[in-house]
Amino acid sequence: MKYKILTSDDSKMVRVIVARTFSPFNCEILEAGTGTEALEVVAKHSPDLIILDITMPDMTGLEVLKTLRANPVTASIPVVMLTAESANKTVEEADRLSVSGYIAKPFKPEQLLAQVKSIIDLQPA
Amino acid sequence: METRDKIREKYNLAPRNSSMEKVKKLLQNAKSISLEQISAIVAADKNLCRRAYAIAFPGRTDVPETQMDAAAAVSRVGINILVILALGNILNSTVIRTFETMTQMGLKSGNPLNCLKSEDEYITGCVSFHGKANGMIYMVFEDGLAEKVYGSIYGKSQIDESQRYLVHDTIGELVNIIAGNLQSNLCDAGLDCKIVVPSVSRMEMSHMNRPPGYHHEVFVFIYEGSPCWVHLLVNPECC
Repeated sequence: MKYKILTSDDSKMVRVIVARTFSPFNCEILEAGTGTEALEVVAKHSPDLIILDITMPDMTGLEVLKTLRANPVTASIPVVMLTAESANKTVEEADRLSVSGYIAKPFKPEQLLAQVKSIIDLQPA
Repeated sequence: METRDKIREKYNLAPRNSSMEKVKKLLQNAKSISLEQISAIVAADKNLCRRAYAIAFPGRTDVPETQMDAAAAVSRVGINILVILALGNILNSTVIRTFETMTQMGLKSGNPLNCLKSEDEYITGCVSFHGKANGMIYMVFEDGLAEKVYGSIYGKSQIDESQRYLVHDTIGELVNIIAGNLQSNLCDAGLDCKIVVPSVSRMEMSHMNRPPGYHHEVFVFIYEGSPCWVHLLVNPECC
């Protein structure tokens, strides 16, 4: 199965690192640079997993997450937060919204890979 | 174990560092803590003590660390500046860790006296934070170092002019990560604040926004001989 993974981050640098991390695997990487764009990509492509930043220009990652959870079609998509914001309150809020993982930036690609592999069964390309 | 600690453990998030615990202790007990207790906290942290001493007694640069009087330094600088100095410790280690992890570049702390020429232009990333704590972080790069940072991510030694925005994007994300870490630490110490999306531009240092009364600390980092400066400006009244 070819999984679809959406990386939503306003930084191209992070999206490049994420795409590179998963390039040896049989998956398709979708990209979004804003929260609004992320919701559009979700509606159009139904990703199997979302890697979500918090600080983005239009909507925060937590607002995107709330929107996803409020919609029965997208409520159960696994979401891994990948963000520099790791204050206890923020992590607790993400936890209440049933995130599958929370990775604080700066991060190592292998950390992200291990987290995603614990959620979906990625196979080499 | 507290619920908060359990949630951090659930996601394998690192516990807060010792500088953060010092900040928290200082803030939580600001009204009741004695000078002796504060001095003991400062004396136990050589780096914090050295920096507090340098601000309290700017002319006494030749005093050995073992002879620095923490109590005298504390009574001169005050608790607000101590909190900012402790934040500086966090900033310093976060910068080094961020570059090591994201760009595989091993930065070393440099001499803060290695000053910028204010009339030169540098690539500068800025993130401000607002709330119970107010301030801003500037990261200032010479072109050569900014290009090395870009090269470490994109694997290119030369920048195609059409891709120059990627240099700014990279610098913006690095300063965002560093500011996000600082903001998270501030929030956990009871100083709730939010950061804004980073801005990156070429600017002369004389154009840097230095609000009056803000405490200003400069950290210098070196990579292969090229310096990068990190400016932390914090309103001491909120601490």
